[in-house]
Amino acid sequence: MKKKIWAHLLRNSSIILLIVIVIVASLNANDPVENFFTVMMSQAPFMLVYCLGMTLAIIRGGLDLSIGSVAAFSSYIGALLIIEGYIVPGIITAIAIGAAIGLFNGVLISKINVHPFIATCGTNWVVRGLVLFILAGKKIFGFPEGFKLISTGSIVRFSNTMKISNPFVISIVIFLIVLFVLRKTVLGRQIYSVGANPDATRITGVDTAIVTTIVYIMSGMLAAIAGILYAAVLDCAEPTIGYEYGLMSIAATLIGGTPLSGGKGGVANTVVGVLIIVFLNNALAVLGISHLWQQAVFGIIIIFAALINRIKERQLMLLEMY
Amino acid sequence: MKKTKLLKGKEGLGLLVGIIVLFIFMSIFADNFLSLYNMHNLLKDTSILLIVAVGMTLVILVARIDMSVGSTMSLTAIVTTILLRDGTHIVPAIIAGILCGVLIGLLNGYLVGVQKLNHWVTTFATLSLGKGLALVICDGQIINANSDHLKAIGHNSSVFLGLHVFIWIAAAIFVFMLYVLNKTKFGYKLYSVGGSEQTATLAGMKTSTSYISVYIISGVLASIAGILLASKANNGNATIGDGYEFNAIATVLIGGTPFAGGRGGLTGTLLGAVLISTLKNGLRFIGITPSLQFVIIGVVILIVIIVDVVFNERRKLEEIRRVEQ
Repeated sequence: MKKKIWAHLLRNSSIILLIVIVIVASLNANDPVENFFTVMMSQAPFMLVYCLGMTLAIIRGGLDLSIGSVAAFSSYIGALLIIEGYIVPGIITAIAIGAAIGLFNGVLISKINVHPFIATCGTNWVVRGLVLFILAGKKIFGFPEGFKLISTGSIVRFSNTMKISNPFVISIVIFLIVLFVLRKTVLGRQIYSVGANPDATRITGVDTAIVTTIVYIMSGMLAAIAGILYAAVLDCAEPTIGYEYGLMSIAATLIGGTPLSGGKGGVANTVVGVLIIVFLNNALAVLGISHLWQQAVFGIIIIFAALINRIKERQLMLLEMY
Repeated sequence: MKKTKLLKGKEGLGLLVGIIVLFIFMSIFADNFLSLYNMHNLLKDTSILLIVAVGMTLVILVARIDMSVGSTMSLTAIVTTILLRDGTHIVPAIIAGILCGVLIGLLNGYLVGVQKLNHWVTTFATLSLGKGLALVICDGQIINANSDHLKAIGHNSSVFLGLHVFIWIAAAIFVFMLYVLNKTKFGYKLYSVGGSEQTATLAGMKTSTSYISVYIISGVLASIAGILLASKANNGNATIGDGYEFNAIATVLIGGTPFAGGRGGLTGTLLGAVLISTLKNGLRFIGITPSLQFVIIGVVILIVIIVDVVFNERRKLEEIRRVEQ
């Protein structure tokens, strides 16, 4: 009995952590309900979109560090079209650029066998350099109203802060699509299988290179969507978009309970991880802790999440043995 | 046996040819590139990169990676300059700075060597931890050290026997590590752990101590490089070491130590450091904007990495074929 409770606690440790953090943030906020809505409707959705891509890459047994610069680059190129009034072509172009960079990553990793970390880090470096070079510090702003509505509009509106915002709905739809792909399609099962054991998967006749490439293409597309959403809410495309995306999304995915070893976890876990990260950010802000601490805190979170995942795996293995 | 030796010579030769071609190219397209002043400057830049790359070589030799060197440099620079600004003597300030490197190296070594966490993500996490701490300590500001002693190390006029102090420090570290790696038990251990951790464990070695010591060495060397960087400008900021991890990794790979570990050495790293600094220095001289330099160097590093991986695959196949015969 005692062992069963222990196992339950271990399995749901991230949800318990989330509840604790939400309570801490709410206790210190002026208006807890308003605070809760702000975080849920206008902070979590953006993060969820790019974290889904990272989760896919981690389940596949890799990583995608290029999402930050992909978001910046694609939203900038998209913005060039959108500012002229071509909203839909602009968005499609941005997503296509995300997919193209993802394709490059995928080929580098699956065909040439470069380690995912170094491959995506290299692309991140090059793409960020391109963004800085092309933009040269300029910003693009003053988008058409229709485009801004994507991020600032809402479907149901109770008051200024209490509303169901468009990004929230968009991120939920994207989440459900990715969840469906992972759980109900052949491709989804193949992603898990490649993550768990690439060699065995290849021997069973799956084209692992294509699975890997598709994962990175999806990750690039999701990063581009996050970049577009972010540009719409800022009403500005700037070269600094997405500097922290890589770090934050690794932290969210790991703390949600998707281990780096690959083949385990899922996007539902990542939702919990994203909520933990955004509410933690919120708690830091509410408690009046300097934003300079952010980077150090996320470094510590990644280390602890990786350690906890390791302990969890060991303990659960032991519990299953008896 | 003969073939591998010949190949080794060829690899070093290729690097030398690359450096010479780059030199000729740069001296045609950039005025004053070949001037004595610039050559001295180039050697100075090379020595800082070389110090970091020597530590990185050891880490890559045991088939691991250290992404945190850049942020260790920044953290050390901040800690040292802040202590100096507040009136501490230079010796304790430098010791405190190097202690930062020891601590980050110890953390890396413990997590990777003992807890067996993924080394990429662990050192990436310590990268953001170190950089975050540096940001917190300096409050996002540039710290002016205002120290004559620190200035004396990095100033252009501090030359010894015609060469800058930086170059002597790098040379001393390089020669010492060359000795350690090639002539001591410790060095042999690193090669065998890098070749195959499992075999080393079965042979009775305690591999975790190798990992921990390698990460500590890498942290300490990064700290020394960070102090030298800070002394160059007599100030420190939280971005001073950004990007050094990539330059160091590229240097090591160019120098012929592959990610797979167990092969390579420091001589190649020396040539790699000269190549990378020449490229950087030359691009600056031709008058290319910093952001485009960023892209060009990134592309070069990516190409180097791809070539490394492709060569390694081919080598593996060859080995399999040899075993089958």
